[in-house]
Amino acid sequence: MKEFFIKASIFSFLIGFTIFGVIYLPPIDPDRYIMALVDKHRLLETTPQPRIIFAGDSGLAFGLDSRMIKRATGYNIINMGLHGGLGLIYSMDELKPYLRKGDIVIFAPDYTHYMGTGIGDNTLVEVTILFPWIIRYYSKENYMSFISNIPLTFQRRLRGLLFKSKELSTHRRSKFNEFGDNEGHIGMPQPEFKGKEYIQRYLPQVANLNITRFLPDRVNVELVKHLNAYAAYCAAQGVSVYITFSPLMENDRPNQERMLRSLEKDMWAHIRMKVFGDAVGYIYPKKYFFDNEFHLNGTGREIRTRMLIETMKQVPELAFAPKQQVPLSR
Amino acid sequence: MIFTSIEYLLFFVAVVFAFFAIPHRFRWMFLLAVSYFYYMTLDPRYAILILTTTIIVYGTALVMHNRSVRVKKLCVAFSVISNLSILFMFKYYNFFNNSLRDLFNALGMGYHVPQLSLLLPIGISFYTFQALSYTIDVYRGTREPVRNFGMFALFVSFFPVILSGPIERSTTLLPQFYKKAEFSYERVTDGLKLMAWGFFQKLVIADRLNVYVSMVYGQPQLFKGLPLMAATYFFVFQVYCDFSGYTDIAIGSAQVMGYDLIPNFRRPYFAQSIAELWRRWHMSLITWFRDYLYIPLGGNRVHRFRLYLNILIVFTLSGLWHGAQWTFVTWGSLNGVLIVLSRITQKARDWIRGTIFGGLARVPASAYFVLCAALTAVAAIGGASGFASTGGRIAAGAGGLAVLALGILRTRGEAYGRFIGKMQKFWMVFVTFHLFTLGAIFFRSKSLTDAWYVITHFLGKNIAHVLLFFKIDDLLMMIGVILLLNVIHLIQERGSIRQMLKSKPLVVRWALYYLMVMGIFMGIQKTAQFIYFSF
Repeated sequence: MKEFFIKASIFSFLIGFTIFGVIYLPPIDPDRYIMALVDKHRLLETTPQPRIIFAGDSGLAFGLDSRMIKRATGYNIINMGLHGGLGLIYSMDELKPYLRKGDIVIFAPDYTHYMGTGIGDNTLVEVTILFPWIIRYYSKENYMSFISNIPLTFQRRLRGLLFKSKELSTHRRSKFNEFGDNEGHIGMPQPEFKGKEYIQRYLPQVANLNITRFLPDRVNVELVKHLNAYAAYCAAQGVSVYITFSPLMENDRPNQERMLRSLEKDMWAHIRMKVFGDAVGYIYPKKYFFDNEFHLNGTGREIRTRMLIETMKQVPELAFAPKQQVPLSR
Repeated sequence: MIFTSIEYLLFFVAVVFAFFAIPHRFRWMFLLAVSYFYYMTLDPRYAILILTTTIIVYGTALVMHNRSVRVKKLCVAFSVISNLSILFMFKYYNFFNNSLRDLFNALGMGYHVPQLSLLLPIGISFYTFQALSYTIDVYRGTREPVRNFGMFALFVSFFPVILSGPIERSTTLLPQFYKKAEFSYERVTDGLKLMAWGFFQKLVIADRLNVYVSMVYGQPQLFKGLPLMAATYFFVFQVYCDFSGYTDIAIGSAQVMGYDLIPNFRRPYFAQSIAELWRRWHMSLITWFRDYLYIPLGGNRVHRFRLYLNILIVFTLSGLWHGAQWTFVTWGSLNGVLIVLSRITQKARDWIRGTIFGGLARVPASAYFVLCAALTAVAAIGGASGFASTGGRIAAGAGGLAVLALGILRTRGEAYGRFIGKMQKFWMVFVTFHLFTLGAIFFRSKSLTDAWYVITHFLGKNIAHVLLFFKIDDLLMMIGVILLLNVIHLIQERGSIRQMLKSKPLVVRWALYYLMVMGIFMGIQKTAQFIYFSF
């Protein structure tokens, strides 16, 4: 038995060293998109009240003009949107240490999140390469996902070491502005992406399909529990928490409208966050999108932000910031 | 808690440590407790059903022991009927009810029997068959009934086999629970290596292929030609690696604790006939059907037509065992029909094969050289004369080289004979594999309509469709892992790789184990449910 344990330990060490070595030891490009996370956390620390924190995914990073919202409402804005792979639970958890009484949090996640339980994917491991400390924000659901995603991250890192990184110039840390909005794509032409038209070229049958991908008609029950628990936490901290809708690329609009109405109804009925806005109003044609059906281009971003401001004006708390700026304190 | 989850690995390590730490007399209790715990992690309600089956089978076996034939018959009938009734209610009721409704509707008659909304307990087909084998063995007198209820309950619920087998026999597994298992370095490491190979098959091969197969078979009408063909071939290897991978993890898990489970696969795609393939595929199920259905029906010792009927019954029921869908019934029946046809045409096929390959064996070397010269001439002058296109010339040139090689080989007598023998074997494997692949279309399709669509749109070369949703390197990786599997199987045909490795130096062995584990980490995909859990 002793022989087995000695050999098993040595072998396990070799495997573990290889995996963690490949994931954590090689240097990482400081301008990587995901590195913007560190700047966003700095914003959470330093932005004075009154402030609104927008939380979500890359759709928010690409599709929000925080400067315009600040001008319209007077609130200081922090855009925490970065990567959908981190999951909604993470998006909620990472704010917790920074929340102060009087803060306003607005969630605007993509509709795909409502299908899942809010647990993140291999991005949860990738961010720990840059910020090992971030693991302290992970809830128990994300710990399990973290462990099971180590192999996928290992593969990606190994590929990254063997082949040159293909990160787009529009997706870089340096392209984020002082509010946390990505501006790298503003004014850039729309690259080709695999939308319905692309597939249709090869499979004409697709034209007859009512594709409503990424569009659930209700919120996952598990996710509802997490959202409500977070709402209760925020209420206890004196933080107002809202949820609103994200842009959706037009494609079989009647069906999309039907699904969104059903989703809205479900959100109103089950989520104990204040829901505002009109989901159907955020259905935009393809020309307003950038490189996929989640990321708006410059025009789309502007239209979406204007629409968001309009709906914010209808909510007294969001319409205008209180006059006096509250100094930074906990 | 499926085998490929982190939770299972943690559970398994904890169980193995505790197993060897506690005295032998308590081990069965411990294993029983952890087996029920393991099963209940999927759904606690499952425990009620498996306990019911255990009580019925255990009780009837005790009652029938040393009693009159009449009592024995009553007991075995009660046990078989009650267990099959449970299986029927949970797995088949809605299927038959729906089928009857369709039939009545087609005849323009009303049908108002309601559907049941029952959950299908994972592994019910496996443990029911395992328990039934015990009942029938006791009835036949081939084994004594077990007095210790807990020990019997462990036999029915043993965690490595409860979800997807192998379907164990009480005569092989139960006695092992009574024997004291010592920690053995050889056994433990052999078990771990087998588990690692199982993980590789499931996580690297099956789950990788699943991505493509699920997409195409999810909506086959969107595709035609090459994508359907690729998905079908991929599925044949996916289903093998999925189930064989599961089995290896199960056998390896039991082996680590000192228990030997029966093998379930023996490289089925190298079989030279459909009948042989079924002796190499899901062996524990097929031998179960052989021992408890085929032989009682008369087996081989009946009239020819009755024999064919027996084969059809066994394979149709084996199809139905796999799932309550007409696709599975068709799949099973089709395999039965193929076996019957192979028996009917055996002599004719032997004669044709003998004539062709025997004739090839007698072709003189000079004939090859003449053919080579002719092909070379086509390749050389075909273009100038407009007789052949560039592709044709290349083919003629390659053919010429191949024929030249054959001619040279022919001059070497025995080697040529061996080559022709291998060609004949390859041909038989090729045909068998493709007949099985035809059946696999029904196995994978969601409906008979889908299966028919795949069969009728199978041919074509629209490669753009294949690459529509996948990068070329992903597809090459899929083909690569299939080739790797076949290379490993080729080596295994010559003997156990684990045995071969034992004679190698430590550094070589460790390097290979290291590569395999790293291969799992490098090739792992988002894991999918084991296919056989549905059965």
